[in-house]
Amino acid sequence: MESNEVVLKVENIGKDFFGNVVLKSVSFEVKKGEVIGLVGENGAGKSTLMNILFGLPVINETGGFSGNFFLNGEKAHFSSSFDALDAGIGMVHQEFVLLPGFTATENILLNRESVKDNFAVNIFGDRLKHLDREDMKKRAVNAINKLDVNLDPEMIVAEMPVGHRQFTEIAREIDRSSTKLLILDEPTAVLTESEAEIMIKAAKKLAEEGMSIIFISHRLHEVLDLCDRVLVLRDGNLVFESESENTNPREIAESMVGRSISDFEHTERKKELQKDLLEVKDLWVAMPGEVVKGVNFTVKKGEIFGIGGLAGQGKLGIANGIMGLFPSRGKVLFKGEEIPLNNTKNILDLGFSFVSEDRRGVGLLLDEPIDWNITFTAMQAHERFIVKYLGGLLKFRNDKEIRKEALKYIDMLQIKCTSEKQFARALSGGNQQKVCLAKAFALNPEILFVSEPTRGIDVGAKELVLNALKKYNEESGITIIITSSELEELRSISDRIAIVNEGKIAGILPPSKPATDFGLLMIGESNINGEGEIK
Amino acid sequence: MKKWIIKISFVAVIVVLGVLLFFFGRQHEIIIEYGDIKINETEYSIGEELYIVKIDSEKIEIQNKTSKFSRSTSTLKTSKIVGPNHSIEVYKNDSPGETIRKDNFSVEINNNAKINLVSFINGFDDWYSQKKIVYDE
Amino acid sequence: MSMSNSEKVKKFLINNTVPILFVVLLFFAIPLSGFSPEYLANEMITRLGRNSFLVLALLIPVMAGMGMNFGIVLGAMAGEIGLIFITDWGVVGINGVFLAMIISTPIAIILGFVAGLILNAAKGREMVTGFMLGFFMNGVYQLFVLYGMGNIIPINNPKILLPRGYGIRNAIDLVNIRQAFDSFIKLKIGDISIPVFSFIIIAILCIFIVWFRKTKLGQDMRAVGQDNDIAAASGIAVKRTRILSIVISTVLACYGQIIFLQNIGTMNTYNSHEQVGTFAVAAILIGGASVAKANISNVFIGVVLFHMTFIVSPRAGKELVGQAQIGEHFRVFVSYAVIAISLALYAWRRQAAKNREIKAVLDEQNEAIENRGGSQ
Repeated sequence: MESNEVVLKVENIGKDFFGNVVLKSVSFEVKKGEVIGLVGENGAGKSTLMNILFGLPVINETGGFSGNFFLNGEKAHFSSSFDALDAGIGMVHQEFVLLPGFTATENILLNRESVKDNFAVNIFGDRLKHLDREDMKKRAVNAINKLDVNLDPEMIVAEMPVGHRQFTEIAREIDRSSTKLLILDEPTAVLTESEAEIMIKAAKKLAEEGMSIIFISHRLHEVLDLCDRVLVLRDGNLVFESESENTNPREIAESMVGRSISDFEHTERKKELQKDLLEVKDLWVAMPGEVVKGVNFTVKKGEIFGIGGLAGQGKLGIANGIMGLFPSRGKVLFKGEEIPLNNTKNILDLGFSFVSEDRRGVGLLLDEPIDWNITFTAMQAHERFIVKYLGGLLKFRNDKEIRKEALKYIDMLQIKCTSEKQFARALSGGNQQKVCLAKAFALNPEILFVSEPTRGIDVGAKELVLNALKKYNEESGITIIITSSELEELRSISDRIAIVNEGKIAGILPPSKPATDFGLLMIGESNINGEGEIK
Repeated sequence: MKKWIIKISFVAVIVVLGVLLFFFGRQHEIIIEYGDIKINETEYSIGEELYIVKIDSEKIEIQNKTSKFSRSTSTLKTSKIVGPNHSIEVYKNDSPGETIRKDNFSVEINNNAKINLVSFINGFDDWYSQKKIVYDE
Repeated sequence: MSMSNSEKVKKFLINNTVPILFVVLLFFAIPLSGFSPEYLANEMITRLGRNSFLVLALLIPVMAGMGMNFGIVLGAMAGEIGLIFITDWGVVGINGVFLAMIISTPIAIILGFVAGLILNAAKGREMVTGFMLGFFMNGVYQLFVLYGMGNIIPINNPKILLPRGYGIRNAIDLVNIRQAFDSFIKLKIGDISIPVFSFIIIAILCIFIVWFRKTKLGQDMRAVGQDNDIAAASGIAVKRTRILSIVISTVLACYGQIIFLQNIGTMNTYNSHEQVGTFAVAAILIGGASVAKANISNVFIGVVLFHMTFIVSPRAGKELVGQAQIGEHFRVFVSYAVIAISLALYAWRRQAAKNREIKAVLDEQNEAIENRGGSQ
């Protein structure tokens, strides 16, 4: 239900953070019932633009912004997000802002509960009003029905599947009757494919009923499927605008990165791999959600070994199990010698290193500068970057070396930062990931496990990360075991790829094999045909 | 506006309640004096009989110390009463049905009460007096 | 099916370790002590009437995610100040008790507000801060009562004043209001006397708490208790809500202390409030509450188990070791030990919940391996 009524009009909005320009004169319009796709690399200015629209205080605190925007023809200027909410802008964030112990209803109506009067209100104020549970449920069901999804209003959020949490968040914005413009910030990033489909369907239905939506996503096919129009931001500029019908993923991706992408093509490696470095025999790992049920494989020295497969099949469990982060059993031989499992310290000492898929959990010291983050583990584990005096009695940090090392990786991985002294917390997600990698590199490991190195980062950064891994492997001959859910990524850098299905290795293929072969392994098809003896 | 009125009156009610609790809950001392008195050259006494002074529902026995072993010459007896309004009734111990005199009295908030029993049973009007509460150090 | 049942039983046991431990302890100690059932019932009813209110005061801050409010000591102090005044003025009986409550309410509100401000500044460490706050305010209270009263604040009654003319005596005889609540309406069944009015007051408080949970403020507190940031993002005034929860708790503790002392009948001006926090917290924890979750039934179960242990243990100790004193030490020992154990158990339980998930996977694996071993 698209009409000509303009809900949001953005005029020449620009913003700089203390001289650092992040948005330059951006103008566009959103009509009633229209879905706009907003894409761009990390750091292209999407978040800043949304923060301005949503009135986050950080914008005012850093000197406001230039230009204007109009909501329903009225000039808007918000001093807080509550003003934005009142004016009819709803935002669904990337991270869930739901209370785990509350039901869907309670979360949807959080701080907007239906209340009934009672006498105590006269004396002690409005906050002693009674909750009107019946009306609350009615409103929640109403909002859920608008989404046309299957969501139990009485279910507690902690017990919900991820997709339902996302719906709860959206329902919350819908219940706000004033909401005319909904900003969805990567709503599908955490969803499974089928959940994402339902989510897209729900968004379409909302748009039909007259809701305007700004949809931010890295998944281009979703953007093209859902949105009427696509806007691309690059380095703060609006570089591309097109009706969805008239464009394609390649065109969008190109305008995002500003250069044409080489489609992750595999270049055949020249070097010979002979020596076995790591041998895994019948490895079982008890990682919840990623259970490994007896895998066998051998990795050669200097090889990049890819592990792929669908989510939840166990591919992530392999690296976590070998590194001793989850209980495991089986045999792991390193250079022909069996290494004890479930002992992380020991494994690290042997020269293993791990970049976890869980960026927050194992990753970074967020309140420390980048150079510290990069060198800290190496300092602790191998006493690198330390100057010793008096035969080791006095130890000092070698700040010069630390700086040099940090600058080396900042350059190599193109970490976007103001200086090597910037705090890790201030970096964007993609750049944090790069710091994690640099940290692992700085350890000079013999074998490096990398899990989901490109999760949540944009196309351009992906390439950088992958190239860095490749270069590192070529230059220092290090063995890399990379786990990823993106097959193309694995094919672009790996020498061999193992596909994990239902906790077992369904097959190991060279990357030159056609994608369909991998696809069949992932869904377990060729497993059945190949072995022919599944019980 | 309406809510403010209700709020203020709620606080006022609580304050008034506090004051009322104070008035009706304050404890006063009551002193019953039964020594001989002289009015218009006539001497009055309670003799040697046992009198029962009933203040509200509490019964106090009063009798002149006539025993030769008693060296006490006190003719005062004290008790406690709570709140401002009280009744007093006196009868002789051996004839509980026949009330000698019955009356009411009230104590002001900061006072203690004093009753002259002899004056009371003989029908005089000046049987009751009040004295400010003073704590003896 | 039997599997899931045994799982249920296991979960129940894990979640109620502390109360079960005490039930087992009492199971042995009661026969050892040799007390008659009537005596025990009498004691229990007295102590329920005396202590429940104070323990109930702990519930609301738990709801707001502020843990066990050791700050109820402040409320107790406020209540004691009220009692000093009514004793000085000679207001007696049930009027005196109610007047003491009215006088001490504003004091408790102010103290609660200050405590709330301080606890807001110490987010995440509310319990230990509250504990220290109790010590600190004890000093302020002593200064106030020992030097302020009789000097700045007129106190006339020499029975409660120190001979030097100012400062309150160490012990105040509350004979004037002794058991005014308990005996206002009293019921006697056989040898067991029941302080009906005290129980009515406690019942009213329970109803209040249940009602309060259903109000907007109660809902906000539950939200704040789960996640400060999310609550703030939805527009709830988090800090104010947290302060209110402490204010309510402090005021309730103030009434609780008044009810407690009218039952006891004497007040140790400088000590009565000292262990109020510890004992109340120990009681509710023994009742199966945790730092994050507590309900009304925890309060009553806790009071019964905690005080039953107190009554029984001196005699049991005497029978066992030949020394009755052991019971008195036991009382203090038990309170602190229970608090420490419960807090440790809480942390452990959270860890266990995480581990359980992993273990379920391991079990599944073992099963799979065994099956495979069999088939080969």
